[in-house]
Amino acid sequence: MNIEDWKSQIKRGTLEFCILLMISKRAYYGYEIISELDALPILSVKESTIYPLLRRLLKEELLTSFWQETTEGLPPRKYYSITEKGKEYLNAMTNEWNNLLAAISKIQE
Amino acid sequence: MDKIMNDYLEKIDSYLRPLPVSDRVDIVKEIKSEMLELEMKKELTPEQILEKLGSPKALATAYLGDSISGTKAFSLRRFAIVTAFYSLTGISGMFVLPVTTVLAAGLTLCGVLTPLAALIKLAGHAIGYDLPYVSFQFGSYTLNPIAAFPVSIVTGLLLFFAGKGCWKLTLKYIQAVSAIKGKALDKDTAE
Repeated sequence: MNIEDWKSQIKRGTLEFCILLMISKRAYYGYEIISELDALPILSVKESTIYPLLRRLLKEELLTSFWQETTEGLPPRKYYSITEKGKEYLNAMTNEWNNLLAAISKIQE
Repeated sequence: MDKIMNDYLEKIDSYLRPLPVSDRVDIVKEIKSEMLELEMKKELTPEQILEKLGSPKALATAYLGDSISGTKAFSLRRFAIVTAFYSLTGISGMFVLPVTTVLAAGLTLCGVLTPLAALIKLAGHAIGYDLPYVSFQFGSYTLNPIAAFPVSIVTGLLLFFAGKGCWKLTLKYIQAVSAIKGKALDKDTAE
C-alpha cells in the first residue's frame, strides 16, 4: 500500500472540481491557480497538469478565457472565467460530492 | 528575457507543431507570461523557473496527450498529434503506436477502397468489359462481378470497423500512457 499513490488518485479525481470551484468565485489566471493550490499541499500541482486541464475545460466550454494587461509592468495574463454550462456542471459536481461525503460518513459511523 | 527561457519556449513551440497555430501561440504566450511573472515578482532565477516548469518535452507531451484524449473523431490533424505524441513517449509507444495507427489508417482505407473497386468492376461488367487485376477470390474460386459487389460492401464494412477499432485502441493506449506519466509527475511533486 502506498499512501502517496492514493493521494495522487484523489487529486486526479477532484482537481477539475477544485478548479471550477475557484473560478466560479472570480476570474483566475493560470499561475494564480497554481500558487493558490500550492498552499494546500494535498492539491499542489504542476504546470504540466494545470495548463492542459484548463485548455480542456475551455474546449468543453465550461470555461472562457480573456487576455488582460497588468498595471505592474508585467506581461498580459490569460484569465479564465466560468460559463453558464460550467456553472451547471459545477452544481452537478457539488451534488455528487455531497453525496459522496454523506455516504462516507455513513460508512464511518 | 533570458536566452535559456527563450530556448525553452522555442522547444515547446516546436514540439507542439501538430496543433493549430493559434492554439500554439496562445500556449506559448501563457507559459511566457508565467515565466516573466516568476522572474519579476518571485525573483526566481531562469534556472529555478525552468526547474519549476519541468522539461519542455514533458510539458508539451502533457498538452498533446490532453488534446488527443479530448475527442474521438479521426482527422489528419489528430493523426499528426498522435504521431508527435508517440515520438515523445518512447519505448513501448515505439512499437504499439505505429502498429495501431498504421493499421487504423490502412484498414479504414481498405474498407473504403474494396466496395469502390467492386463497383468499378461491376460497371465494367455491365458494359461488357472484364477489368483485369480486379476480382473477388476465395482461394481458386472467383466470384462473378455481380455477386462480388454486395460481398465487397460487407467486407468493406468489416475492414472499416476493424480500422475504427484500431483507432480506438490507439486512443486508449495514449490515455493509459498519459495517466502513467501524469502519475509519475505527481509523485515528483509529492516528494
